[in-house]
This record gives sequence, C-alpha cells and structure tokens, in this order.
Amino acid sequence: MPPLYYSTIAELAPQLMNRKLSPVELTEAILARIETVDAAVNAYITVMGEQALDRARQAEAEIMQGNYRGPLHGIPVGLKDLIYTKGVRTTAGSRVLRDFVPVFDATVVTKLQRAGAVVIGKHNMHEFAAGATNQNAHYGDARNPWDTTRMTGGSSGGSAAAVAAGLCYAAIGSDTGGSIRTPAALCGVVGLKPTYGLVSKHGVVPLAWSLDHLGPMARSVEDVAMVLEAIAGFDKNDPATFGGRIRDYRTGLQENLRGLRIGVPANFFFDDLDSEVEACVKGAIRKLEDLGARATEIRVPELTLVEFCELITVLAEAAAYHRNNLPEKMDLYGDDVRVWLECGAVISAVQYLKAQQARRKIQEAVSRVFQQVDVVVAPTLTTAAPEIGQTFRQVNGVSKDIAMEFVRMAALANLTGIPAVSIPVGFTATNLPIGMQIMGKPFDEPTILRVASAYERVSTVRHRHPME
Amino acid sequence: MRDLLRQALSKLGIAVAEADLAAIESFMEGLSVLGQQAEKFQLDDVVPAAVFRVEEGEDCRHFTTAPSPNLRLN
Repeated sequence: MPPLYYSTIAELAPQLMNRKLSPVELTEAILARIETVDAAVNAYITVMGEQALDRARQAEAEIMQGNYRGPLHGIPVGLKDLIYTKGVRTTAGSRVLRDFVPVFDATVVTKLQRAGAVVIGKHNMHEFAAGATNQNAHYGDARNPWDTTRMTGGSSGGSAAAVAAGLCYAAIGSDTGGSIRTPAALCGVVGLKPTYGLVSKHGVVPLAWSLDHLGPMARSVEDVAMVLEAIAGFDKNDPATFGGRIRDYRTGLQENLRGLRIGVPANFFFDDLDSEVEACVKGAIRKLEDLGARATEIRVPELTLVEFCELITVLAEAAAYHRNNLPEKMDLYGDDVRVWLECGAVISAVQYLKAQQARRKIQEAVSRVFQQVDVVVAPTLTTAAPEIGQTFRQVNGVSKDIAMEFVRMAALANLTGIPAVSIPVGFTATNLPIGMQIMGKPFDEPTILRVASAYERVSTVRHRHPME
Repeated sequence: MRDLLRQALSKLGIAVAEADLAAIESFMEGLSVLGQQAEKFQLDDVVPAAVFRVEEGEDCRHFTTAPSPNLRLN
C-alpha cells in the first residue's frame, strides 16, 4: 500500500463513503506533507490550512449524517493561483495582483465545493501564466519533485509538482499553450486539457481568451475523469461554455481498444526529440497496438503553421488584457513577462487576423485527420525536465529555445480546441518522467481517457513516486 | 525598426527600456520569418477562425463571445 498521501481519489473515495477514513484526518495528513515537503518544491503560494480543516469538518459531518456527495467528498484539492477564491488572495503568480482578494469564487471552485472537495491551497505558477518554465521572480521557482534542480514546466508548474509530491490529490490548472500538459509530463502526472468551452473560465485571470482552458491534473486517469465530471458544464457567466449534455467520463475507461484507429504524426511532433523520449513514446504506441489499436502514420503539413498562429494569438490577446496595467505598473512585472507583453503590444491587427486565417487552415486540416483516425498520439514534449535556468538545448548542433519548443508541441490542441491528455509513459536513465499526449475529436474526452486508461493499466509507471 | 517600435510603445504609454527593445526587435524578426513561411499556405482567401457561425434558435449571448474555434467535427 502506498502512503496515504500517494493514494488515488478512486482508492480513497470508498473509504470516505464507508466512514473508514475521516476527511479531517486526510486533510491533516496532506497539510503535514505540505509542511514537510513544500519547502523543497515550492508548489504553494498560499496554503489554506484553517479553511481546509473547516471544510473537512463540514464534509465529515455530512458523511456521518448520510449525505455523501460523491467521489470528491472530503478530498483535498489545489488550485492554480489564477483561479478566484472568495476572501483568499489570488496573485496569478504576479506582484501586480499580490494584494488581490476576490469577492467571489470562480465557477470551477463553486462546482468543486458542491462536489464536497476540500480546497487546500493555491499553487505556484508562471507569472500570469505567460511562460512555460514556472520560473517565478516574485514567489520563487517551482521545483520538480523528481529532481529539485530541474524545472516543473509551466505555467501550472506548482499544480503538477503538488500532485506529483503528494501535496494534494488533484489540482485545477489552466492551459493556453500546454500549461497543463507540459508540467504534467515533466512531473510525471496525468493532465487533461478538455475541449474548449467544456469547463467554465468565469472567475479566472485570463491569458488569451480564445486559447485558455481549465482542466484537471491528478495521479491517475480515473481521478482526472472524476474531477472532470465535477467541473464540466454550461455556465451562464462564461459565454464560451458548451450548452450540451455532459458525458460520463468514467464508465468507458475499462473498455478495450480493439479496432481503435490511432494517428501517429510523421512530421512535426517527432522532430528534434531527445532519443530517450522518442524510444519511450514509440514503445508506448507499440503497447497500444498490442492492446488492439491500429496505428496509422498521418501527415499534416499545416502543423508548420502552429507556432506562428499560437504566438501571435496569445501575445496579442494577452497584451489586450494587460493594456492598462502594463504602462502603469511596469516595474511590478517580471522581466520575461514584461518583454513578452511588450511584444504583444506591437502586434498589428493585420498580423492577428493573418494568424486567425492560419488557425482556420489548421482547424480544417485537423478535421480531415479525424475523419481517418479516432485519436492522435505524440510525445507531449521533446525532452524530459531541463535544469532550472536552462533556456536552450542543442539538437544536431542547432540551439533550440526550450520554452518555445514546449509551446510548439502543445499548441495544436489550443488552436483547435480539441481535447488532449498527457500521461506518464516512462522515465529517463536519470529518473525523470516522460509524457505522451493523446488528442481526440471535440468533446470526445471519453475516448482519449479510455486510451490513457488502457495504457495505464498495463504500465507500472504510475506506481513510482518521487520523495518517498 | 527600433525607433518604430519605441514610438509604437510610447503611443501606448509604455516607456520601453533599450534592453527590452533589442529583445522585441529580435522577436519581431523571428515572427516575420514565421509569417513568410505561413504565406506558403496561401492564406489570403481563407476566412479567419475568429468569424463565427450563428445558428437558428441560438440566443443572443452568442453575439457576445470571444472568438471561438467553432470547430465542428463528426
């Protein structure tokens, strides 16, 4: 049996429901783990100890009275610190918002609380989600639990580190160009970017409205599915939310993969990979074939538009959001984010619309791909976790910007809105996690989670933990 | 190019530092290269993704949305 802090929600929920485990004991165990470990990983900006214990006592009383709400009841979860929490400081990882205390909860928080979850704290992140490394000049860098000299990736780096190190059972991150999947891959956890509009963003500090997504991170596919069920759905306060029926994300997880069509990109995603990453992901694809899936090579020339389209879209939209704060509070921004927003400020309307034309091209190409296959699988990233402070890596004698590479690998799913999940599929020789992403048709989260779950069941990767 | 960038940012009230200008200039040059590569895909006749579809029976909240991918797949 793993230590309590490394159990999964699926393992804990029956014990909580049957009153064999107390939400208060569970919350105290996680708070103790945070006290012991978080100095090394710096996953939390704010720990909500007293509020969490109050919620846990409330959950305990409800369960004792026979009012069990479901699998998240009494489970400690964390939030990326750009998600509004009523009465609790929400910094977005920036000094600009260091004293910002929201007067309402984000919709996702309300939904988690309705499901009985215990919000235990606010996670470290790249400032304003505007970066992929989670190096943070204001609140300190988040550090990778597998090797604390290595980066977590970002921008939801504190969330991934917290889940990986047993400092919460699940987290809610945001993903504009890979910010859930990148840190999930580098920290060895499961991270899902759902379809655009499936999860409300009301009460979340935006980075880029047309690319932002909220989604769950946890230590198993089933746990991610359970959290998604709790947070998905229409919200009148978010005009982008999907108004249709929310599907059941858990029931189909155990189904087999016989006949499932997997697309494996011949270009783009397998360019410039570290050899260990390439071998590991190709091995994982062979495992999926052994489980009955049929892999087909796909070629999508339009993928070369992804970087152009993502960069212009995210920078221009971010610059619009920061239009007033940037000139007035320039000194409060970190150097990297300030320069990035200045770049966004000089992007023209013509460039922005060119990017949206490119985006349409990409969307049409992806539509054609999904007429041939059910899912697309690819490495989440080109490499395992780089050292904190490292900005470039050498590939065949060419210097590659690491943060740009992270975004390049992830952005397709943001530009098209399709769902994508990153799962751990192995480790490097130096014990660093490697991730694989599975992308699917819009609102077909059940299929990508089924593929992820099938892999997880035949793999031992999930049972390895850092800092034991 | 730096003067143009400085002027553009100044109009927005941003007093940009020299070091930042060098980084912005380098970034914009990189973006220009990516833009030239993108033009190989003959984008001129493509309808931008920000144009959205309104369907019969939809209520007016759809007219207030941010650009949406509006991706429809089977």
